Amino acid sequence: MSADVHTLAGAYVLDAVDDVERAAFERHLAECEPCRVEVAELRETVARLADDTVVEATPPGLRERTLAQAARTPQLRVSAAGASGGRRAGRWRQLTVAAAAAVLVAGGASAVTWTVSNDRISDEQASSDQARQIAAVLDAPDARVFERSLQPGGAATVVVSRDRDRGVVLLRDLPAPGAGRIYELWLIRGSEPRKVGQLAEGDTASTTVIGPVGEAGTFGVSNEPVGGSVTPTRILGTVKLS
Amino acid sequence: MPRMSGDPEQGRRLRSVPPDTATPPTADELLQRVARGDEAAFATLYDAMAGRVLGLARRVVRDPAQAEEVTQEVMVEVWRTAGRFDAARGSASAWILTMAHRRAVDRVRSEQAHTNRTQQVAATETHVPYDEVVEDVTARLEREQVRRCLDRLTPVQRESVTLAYYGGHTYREVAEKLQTPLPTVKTRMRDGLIRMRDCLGIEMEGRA
Repeated sequence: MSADVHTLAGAYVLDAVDDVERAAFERHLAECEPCRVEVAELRETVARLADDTVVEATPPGLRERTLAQAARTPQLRVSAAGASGGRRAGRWRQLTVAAAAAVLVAGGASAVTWTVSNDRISDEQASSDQARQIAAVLDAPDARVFERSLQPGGAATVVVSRDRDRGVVLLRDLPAPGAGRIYELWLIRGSEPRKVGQLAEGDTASTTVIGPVGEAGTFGVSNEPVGGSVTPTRILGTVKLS
Repeated sequence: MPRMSGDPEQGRRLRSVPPDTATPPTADELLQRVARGDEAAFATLYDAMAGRVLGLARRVVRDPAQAEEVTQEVMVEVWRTAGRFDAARGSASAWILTMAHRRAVDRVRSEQAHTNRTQQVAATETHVPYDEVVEDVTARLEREQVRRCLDRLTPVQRESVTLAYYGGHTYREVAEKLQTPLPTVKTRMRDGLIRMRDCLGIEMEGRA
């Protein structure tokens, strides 16, 4: 999920991209469920712009020609299975799991870091729990994606569902934190930071489920000594969640 | 008239009828009927949508004859591919208008040189033929809402969105026209549409 591709969502729904960019963005969409939700909403938004162009009197000849041409045009056959509601729902669930997997791969790089609260559970359990939690966030109808490059280097993607009160944070390509140091994750409401996770020593990428999100307006990353800090020493990068 | 009858039972029953019959089928319902080959539903859908499809095509391609061709092509395509419409992914009107905009944009991009068109857009940008506009109250309220929401965008957001949508320009062309860096234009388009979305209260609630 490259930040650069994702910012094309606006240009894409406005048809302001060229064919190559359209294809690239559609590939991105295929593996990004929250992006599909955003694009769907922006499409509805853009369609409303046509309200301002409506003409009252459409030529009667145009109506006749169109209806006549339609009458002699065979319709595309769509298989009953594809059109049925049940199957459709199944497909969406599948895509969601695929989207979660894509997020995991993007965040994982070589070794996936799980930071499932403080429970001591096996990696295997953690990963399926984590996948479920990630899917639950990505699946939320109100899920929104925020992406930013971080000041020290690297980038953060934060997917937030206010309804589910959870978020998924993807950190990638952070600079090495330094010997005996780690990255910590914070949710900030006003000027009050609340710790929501940390990376393992030396880790520079992760996928982390965070929450409760509450009314936090900003996500932040700080660099701390191993063992962590109660308050962030210095926030290195932030992502605004609105 | 049955309504005048003294029978209160019947009167009550009849009063409950008008809301059902007076509510025209939504575009979503019509399109689903069209997908099953219902030609009457297609005619009704045409009547509901042609004004916006033609208006949009005229705004983008700027040539009335070509705008009619685009409208015919789009509506026949709606008939042909109605089975692909998936209500879980958006409304019928957005589906149709997405197709219309794409078709109109393809046409201007393939037919006219960039510089040529840029001048035309500059000359006609602010002129909207209001005399042709529907006076239907609902439509007017909806249009006013769109304008009010457009007004809430920053000037760069608004210009980026309108040049792309109504002018059919790529974001590169918009960046050139506004003398603004490419990444800024991309971001302004997305931010502007997100602000519009929130202002219009659009949410895919219960979908997907």
